[in-house]
Amino acid sequence: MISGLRPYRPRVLELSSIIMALVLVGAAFALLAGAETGRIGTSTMLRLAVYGLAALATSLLLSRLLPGADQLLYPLVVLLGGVGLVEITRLSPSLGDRQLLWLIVGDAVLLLTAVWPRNVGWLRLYKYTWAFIGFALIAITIVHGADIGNSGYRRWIGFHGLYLQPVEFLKIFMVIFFAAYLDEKRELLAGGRLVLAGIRLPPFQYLIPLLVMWGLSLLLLVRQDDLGSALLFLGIFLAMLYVGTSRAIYPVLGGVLFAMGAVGAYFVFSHVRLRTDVWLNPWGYATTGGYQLIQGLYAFAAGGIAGQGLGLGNPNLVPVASTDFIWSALGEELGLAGLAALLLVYLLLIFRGLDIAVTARDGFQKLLAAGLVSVFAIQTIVIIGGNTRLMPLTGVPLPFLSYGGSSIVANFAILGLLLKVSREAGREP
Amino acid sequence: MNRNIRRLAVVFVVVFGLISLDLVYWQVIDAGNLNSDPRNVLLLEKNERVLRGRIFDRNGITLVGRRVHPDGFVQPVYGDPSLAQTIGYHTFFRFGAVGLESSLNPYLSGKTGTSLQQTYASWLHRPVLGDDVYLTIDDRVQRAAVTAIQTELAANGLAADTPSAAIALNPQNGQVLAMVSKPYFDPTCIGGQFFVGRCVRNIEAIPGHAFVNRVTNGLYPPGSTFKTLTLSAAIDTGIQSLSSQYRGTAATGPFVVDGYTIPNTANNLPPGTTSADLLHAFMWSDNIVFAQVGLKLGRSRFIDYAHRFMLGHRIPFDLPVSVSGVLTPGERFDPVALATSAFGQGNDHVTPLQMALIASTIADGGRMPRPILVKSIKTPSGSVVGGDTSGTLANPINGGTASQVRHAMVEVVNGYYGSGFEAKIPGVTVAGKTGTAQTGNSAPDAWFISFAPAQHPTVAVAVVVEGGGEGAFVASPIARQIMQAALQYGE
Repeated sequence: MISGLRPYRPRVLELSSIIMALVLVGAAFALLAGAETGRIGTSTMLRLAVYGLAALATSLLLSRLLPGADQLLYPLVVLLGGVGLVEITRLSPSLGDRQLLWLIVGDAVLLLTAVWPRNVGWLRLYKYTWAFIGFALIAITIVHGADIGNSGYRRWIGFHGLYLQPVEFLKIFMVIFFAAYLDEKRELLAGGRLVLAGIRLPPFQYLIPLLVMWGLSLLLLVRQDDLGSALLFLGIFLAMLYVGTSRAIYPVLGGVLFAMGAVGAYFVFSHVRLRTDVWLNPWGYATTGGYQLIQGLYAFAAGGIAGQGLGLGNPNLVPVASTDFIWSALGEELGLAGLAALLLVYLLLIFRGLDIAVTARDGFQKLLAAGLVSVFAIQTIVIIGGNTRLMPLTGVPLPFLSYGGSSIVANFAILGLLLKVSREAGREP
Repeated sequence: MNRNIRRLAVVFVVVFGLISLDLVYWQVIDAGNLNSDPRNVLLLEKNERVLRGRIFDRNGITLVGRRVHPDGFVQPVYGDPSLAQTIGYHTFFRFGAVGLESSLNPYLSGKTGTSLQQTYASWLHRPVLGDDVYLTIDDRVQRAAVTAIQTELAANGLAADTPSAAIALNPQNGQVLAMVSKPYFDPTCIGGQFFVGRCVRNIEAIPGHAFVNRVTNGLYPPGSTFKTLTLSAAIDTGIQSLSSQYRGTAATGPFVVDGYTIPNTANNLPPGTTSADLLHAFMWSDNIVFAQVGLKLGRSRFIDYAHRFMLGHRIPFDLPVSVSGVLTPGERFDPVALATSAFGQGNDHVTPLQMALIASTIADGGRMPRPILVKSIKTPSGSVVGGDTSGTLANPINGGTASQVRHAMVEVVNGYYGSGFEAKIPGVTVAGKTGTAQTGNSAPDAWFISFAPAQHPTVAVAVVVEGGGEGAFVASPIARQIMQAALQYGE
């Protein structure tokens, strides 16, 4: 396919947008170097060169592999990934170099997705296989997983020194499965003769996936203390259910059920209770459970409107700033102005993604694209909202910005699938 | 289905809007609170990087320096511990700052200047530079005062840690030259430190409350030094003169007021003497005579003159000052209180600073100077931005009265059987007044107030030694040595 006979079309919009993104990332690298050493050293130039060349090469290969695919998504990701790379390098240069490696692996995964599967429609044929793989991943993690960082929960799978967070990949399998399932059964789910408490319900067997998802969310919440992933899965599922069936009662019902489950968990499980109490009154736990959150809030306040400047704040005072609190770190150094700009980039990404969903060729692909975009959107909301005390703090990575191999790789795979959907819609830029 | 996707987009936009509002709250609306929250470690980080201003004595001797650590952490370095309560200390955490380190903090931490340079520095994230402060303190006089107290405590068989206080100032401009409050402490283990609990406990364990600045916050009965005020009032109102005569029991006692007897042991007259004019009653410190002077003045005139000398008023100073007074709230100022207050007992309670200002008033012809500790404040670039707040606090008595009281005070030191003989300085006329204040403890507090040279005074002093006994023997030699140092090093 790479040898391809397809007509070659240069992706001018994408290339020029990538160059603009790289100019911004380069400026950020330069500011950081200036603040830290007063000059721009070779290591800075090298990092920028590696990152930039990988992005440009990926774009050129995409023009061969996915001609006609959307040209705006990838440049937005290059910008987000670059800003995250600068901030992670600022927090810890060695971690930054590993993130750079993961971003390059991400590019490779993006290209791999472009090649395989050949077409998106193929995915729906094996929907139960994906669901099974997803559940198997979680089961293995719970039983055989590793507990990195002594959180008390097994959330990782070790494989010859390489650790994966299966939850990051589970979300892709789940979105594929639900897109296929909903597309098949949406007439049934939208209609239905069974009426319960004034709500028209489909035959019970079609509700099983809903209940299974609800159960999975609560399982993640209670067994893994992973409220973030629980919210993420539930959010994705309810969003897709709504898109597929047009029935707003499903997300409402699902939300209420989850809320009831969460309230129950609050009373039954002490770790859920502690997490909620810390959220409601972090200053009461200022030296224990609330420490991180409060330091994050101080960081936001220190940033103010214009920020302290890259390399000029003290973001390392917030524990695990490079993953769960990258948003606070950016808030301190880039200020409200910088965060607003990044939020706009995320919104652009989401809008462009939903636009792809609208123009997608069939129901399955619409649901798939909407679901994948919801992954980005909800994950962003959950972690930023946790940092700003809009909701209880949960440790999910901020897409493309946070440090983390599994997260970067999974998000690039999602990007690849979205590009594929856009290409199959026959979109022209 | 497309309609649903668009609705989903709206939901996401709304939630992103909520997140933005939340960010505005934390980064703009509540930022001020969070940034000044004392628990905020970032605040600490910021403060410890301020190149805090230094404090010098009047001749540029460093009293508080600073040490800049390689990681940018700036630590104050304290010198003379005898200035511990005056200069105080600055900490980064919840112990805050006290003394001049607190009252001058806006200057020292560079928070006052909105100068272009400071703004520029903050934009460029350069360390903030604090202003340097030059005190009126003369380190040599300060050291002389410390040595004098040590020497005289030992010479009189008193414990080396006997609580005591001394202050010297220039009556012409109110500049404080030396200020000692014993016991003092070494602020090194508090200032600029993070973990001060043990240090604070050690200092609190020193007998005699080392944290208290006795010069400004110690309230003592003044004893006979207060007769200076009573004499000033009597002469200034014209009801008495230095030659007003007291004979027989009027001079020797016992004297009965409202059934309360002041015994004849309080007349302090030389052996065989049975009469005295007001000048000699002052010289010899005759309580019997001054009780009568107080009663002749009457309640309202006595209180009026106390107020004129700033008793009952808060004295403006670079440090917080306790209010001296002759009245105790809730207690009647009856004739007994009036008679005993007139010779410095009763309800009288004064700070050493207050007594030094009374001496200064006599020294400067009836004008009470405003006491000052800060000579000048200079920005890092060398321009003077503040400091000298010298002025006049009050004009309690006229010049004629002042010169008569001065004459009486000169006689205290130089006259026959004068109680202040220990304060004589060869070649210089010294004016002074002793005090032996009953406190209810076994030994009375020893007091001395004085100034020199008598005709053109450049230094006024107040000294108190708790439980020091007769003022003549402990307090006046301390005052003499402080005055000698001030005259030697004076400009």
